[in-house]
Amino acid sequence: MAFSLYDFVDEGGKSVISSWRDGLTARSKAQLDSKLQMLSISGPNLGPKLLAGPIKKTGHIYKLIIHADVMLRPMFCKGPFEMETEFTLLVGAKEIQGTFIPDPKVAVENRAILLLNKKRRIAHVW
Amino acid sequence: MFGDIESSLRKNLRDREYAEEYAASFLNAHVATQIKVIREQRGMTQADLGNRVGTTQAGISRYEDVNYSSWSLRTLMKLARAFDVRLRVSFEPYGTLPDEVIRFDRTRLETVGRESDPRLAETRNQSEVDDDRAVDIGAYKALAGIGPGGQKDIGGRVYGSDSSREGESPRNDRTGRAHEQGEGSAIGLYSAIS
Repeated sequence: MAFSLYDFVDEGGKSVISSWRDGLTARSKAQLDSKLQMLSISGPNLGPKLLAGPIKKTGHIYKLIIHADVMLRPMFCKGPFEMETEFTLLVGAKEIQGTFIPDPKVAVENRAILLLNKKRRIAHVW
Repeated sequence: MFGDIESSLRKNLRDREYAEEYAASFLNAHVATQIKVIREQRGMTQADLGNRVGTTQAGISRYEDVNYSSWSLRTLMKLARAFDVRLRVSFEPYGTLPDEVIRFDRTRLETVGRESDPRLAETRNQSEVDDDRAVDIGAYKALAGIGPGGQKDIGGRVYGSDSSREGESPRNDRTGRAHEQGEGSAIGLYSAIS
């Protein structure tokens, strides 16, 4: 079963994940793409330890586990409109010594914005 | 359905650094996932498998991680033996990777053990061989056309803990043969079908 992947967009309509990805090395981009594609193609349950969550105190936010040049932790939620068939990437993050940068509350805030305005996301561009 | 992913990947794989890292990532994820899938197909716990290969449940849990990257042929051979399948290691061109990526699903990762492999049965006539080929073609078309089934909702589920018993699928002693259609990974655990 395939899952649709969406990106939260900033006020200017630009994908926050796309902007974040642009700043990564080629190796990190490859790791990120590989894991995102696995999520989209196979869903969350096939690849063991592909993701973790919900992150504490966020309720709905999951993180992809990616070992690249740095520990990449793109954060996403299921849905939030079609809960069975789609995910929305909310923020690109890294984990350094147990601390997320940025804080997961950014993902929570972006999800809340999206729930109020469906236009604040676009289909993920591969 | 995954045309966008496939075309983007073909383009990105022209970059050597990207290609090397993507291939490594996919290989690691493929091996880790296939270990989990075959173990569940056999109805084994991580502890069961650990006993068979001479390690602990924690050791198997470490292998069943899409980010694990310290594979050795020795370990993989032990796992193949525990699953009663052969290990295939193969060098492949990068151009075959996108097709493998978009066909990554549970059914294709499952594989039969030697004693359950109908191709090794003692009494086979040409009609049975022809029937098996027809089944293979049918399974291949079905997989290519409709994709995998059985994915579960993540709602309410907590990830990041031992998921050794999650996502179990029923045994399927025939679908493993779909591997023969040529979607081999650089390293994969396959039933002895050739």
